[in-house]
Amino acid sequence: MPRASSRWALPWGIFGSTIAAAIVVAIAHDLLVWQLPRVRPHGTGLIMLAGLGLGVFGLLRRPSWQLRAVLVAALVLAAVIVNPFWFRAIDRTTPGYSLRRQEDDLLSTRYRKHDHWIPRQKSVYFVMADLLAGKQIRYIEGSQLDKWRLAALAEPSEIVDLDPPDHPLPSAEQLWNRYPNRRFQLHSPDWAGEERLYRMVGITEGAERAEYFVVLEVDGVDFVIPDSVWRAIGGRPGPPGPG
Amino acid sequence: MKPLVHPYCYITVLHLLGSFSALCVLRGAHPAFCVSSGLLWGLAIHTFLALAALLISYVSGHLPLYDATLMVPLILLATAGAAAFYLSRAGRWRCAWRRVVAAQTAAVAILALATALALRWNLSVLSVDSFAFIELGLAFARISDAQHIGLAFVHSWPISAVLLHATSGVAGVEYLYFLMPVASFAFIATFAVAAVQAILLLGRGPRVAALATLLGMAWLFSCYFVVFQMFYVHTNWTAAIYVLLFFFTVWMALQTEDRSWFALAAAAAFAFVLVRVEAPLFLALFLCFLATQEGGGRPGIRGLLALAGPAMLWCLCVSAIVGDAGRIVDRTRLLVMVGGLATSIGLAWCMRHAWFRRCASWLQPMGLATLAALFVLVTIDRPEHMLEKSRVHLLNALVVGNWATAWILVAGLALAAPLLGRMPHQRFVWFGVVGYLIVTFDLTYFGYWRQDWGDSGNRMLTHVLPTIAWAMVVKGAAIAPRLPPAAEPRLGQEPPLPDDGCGRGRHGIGSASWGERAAESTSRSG
Repeated sequence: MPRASSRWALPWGIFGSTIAAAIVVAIAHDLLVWQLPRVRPHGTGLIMLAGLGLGVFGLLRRPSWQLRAVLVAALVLAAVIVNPFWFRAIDRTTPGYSLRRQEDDLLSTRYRKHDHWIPRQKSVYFVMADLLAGKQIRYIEGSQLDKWRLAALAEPSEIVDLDPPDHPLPSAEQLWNRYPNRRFQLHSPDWAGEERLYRMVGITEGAERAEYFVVLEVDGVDFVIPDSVWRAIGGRPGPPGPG
Repeated sequence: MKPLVHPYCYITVLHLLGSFSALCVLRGAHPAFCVSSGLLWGLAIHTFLALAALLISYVSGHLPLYDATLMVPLILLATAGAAAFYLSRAGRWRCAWRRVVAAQTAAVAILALATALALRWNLSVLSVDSFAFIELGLAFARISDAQHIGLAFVHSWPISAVLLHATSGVAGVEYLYFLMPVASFAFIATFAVAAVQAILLLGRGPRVAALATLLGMAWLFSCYFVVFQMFYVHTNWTAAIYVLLFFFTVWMALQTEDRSWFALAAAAAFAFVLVRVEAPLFLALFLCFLATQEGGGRPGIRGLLALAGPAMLWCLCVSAIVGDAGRIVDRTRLLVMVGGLATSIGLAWCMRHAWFRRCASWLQPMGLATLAALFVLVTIDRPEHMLEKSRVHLLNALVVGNWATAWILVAGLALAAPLLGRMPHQRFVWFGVVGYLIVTFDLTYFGYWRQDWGDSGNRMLTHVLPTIAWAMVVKGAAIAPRLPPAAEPRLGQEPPLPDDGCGRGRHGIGSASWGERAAESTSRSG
């Protein structure tokens, strides 16, 4: 193993490589994170910096295995020491998806109890579940209400696929105005903050006596319509009705 | 919900199934590894059996034939078979079966404790994707709903998670919130055993092995996103588990030149493929690097067929089911994956020829360079999109992806690589891992990477992190000098056996023949 030719070679090597590393990491760090709020722990850049310094040092010289082992272990230990500080920072900034204990201490039941654990998408199906439970669903392809989610959550008696009606249906607005007794509407932004076309209308007029519901999409709005209403708006195919 | 099988029994049976199967595959050798990773192999076998039942019912046009409760007798039968086979052969294999039984008892007790804790405190975290797995699983648990659903979802949702959650009713819970924490418990033990075993194989002392492993584990399992994913109902952590098992078992096969490890590697590879929709692409990448690995122990065409074949068949199945209408994967993308897997077999065929083997030293760097060149090409095509998404991907890894110091230390250690020791067959591991990371950047071309912890690209980084940690631990321990051959520790297994007559002699660790082969192997590989 090569030895130091001068007792100053090692300190100068470390100093030089540290300066070089500092410049590289500072530039990279600034480019990457300068715009972000400083909620994350400090010291992470230093770990990369130290790694780079050690790497340059290792290239310039070949120290004894004991020194190398100590340096590498120190680098890893630094990361281990910094890690717990991240737990607090992340729990503070992402409370909906963190490991922090909930205030009511009901960890085992938060699946049901806390709204923030239930994505909006699922809550829609939950609301609709009462309406559709045990009833037949006539499903017209094109609805954004997934068939398998309907099956899994609403638990209908049966799902029958229907072809789209061969005549134009009333527009979503007309339907909306015609049946003011609407159950719910959801206009949900998706998780990236972009508006998602996830509007749903469940018409409850006649829902209690309905034999079946029709699920379809009109003008980008999903409708869950009981049989009497479906017949009234002349939806075909389906059993003939008064409308 | 009344359980058909109590969660304790569910975990125990899966653990016994996996550990006895692994012991049978390795012919009684490496009991510490087989017992510690038992639950992980058990989960994989459970998925394979459930998938077989599902596909049979699907092909025969009677989807209702698949029933989650069917898994109970199937798993019990398989467990009894594996245990009986192991115990009947233990004498012939000269296994210390009493020690195995004692280790199994301890493992079952520890897993029962982990299950009790996981059942007592439901720390699970769910997102929209989690609900998809749970709801699909619940629907599969009800025969009538399975008819409505069909299998069309496989273009976006992995079948493995759905099949596992389908058994939640069997275990008497609404969803399997206890499974990931308990599997993670088994994984921590497996990681420790894999690291110690690899370090001892390299001839370093047990004290060095213990210190390096403890340090590596302290870092890996104190990273926020790693701990988080142990409780997150999703697929990434499971994928990470099987990727590590794949790399470790392949490395052991290369290092010990014992081909039976490839059987476990094939199981891990197929489990990985079933856990993630995009996994066949990455498996193809790993296998291409494996096929061109220099030195002895590399799998031949038959080995590659075993590793890639099931994944190719599954890709063709999914392609037939989803056609061109897939969201994440469609027919074209699946055929590209099949092509990648077939390429690895083709490379294995080429490696039989001396002229091709002479090029092997630069084939792997060329592969990596091709992936990097692909990134440059797609960046030229869509510069703004690629640069922005790549920046987001990098930001997720280093700052906003909740990783804590995970990738920062990986970067730091990569920069400090000249200080680390050498690991035999490291090219296959490092080229695979670095290639994986480059491909995640390449995929930004199609991807929707966004600045958030839940971003798919950010979660996909999980898949290779435990493998990197394991390799770093081994390289870190390799800084220490090798012990003299006489002082090299044994792994507490039986003495070496003579050749079994099939040209596949097994070499006990620490034996003379093993030492020679290891030395040869070490000198041959980089």
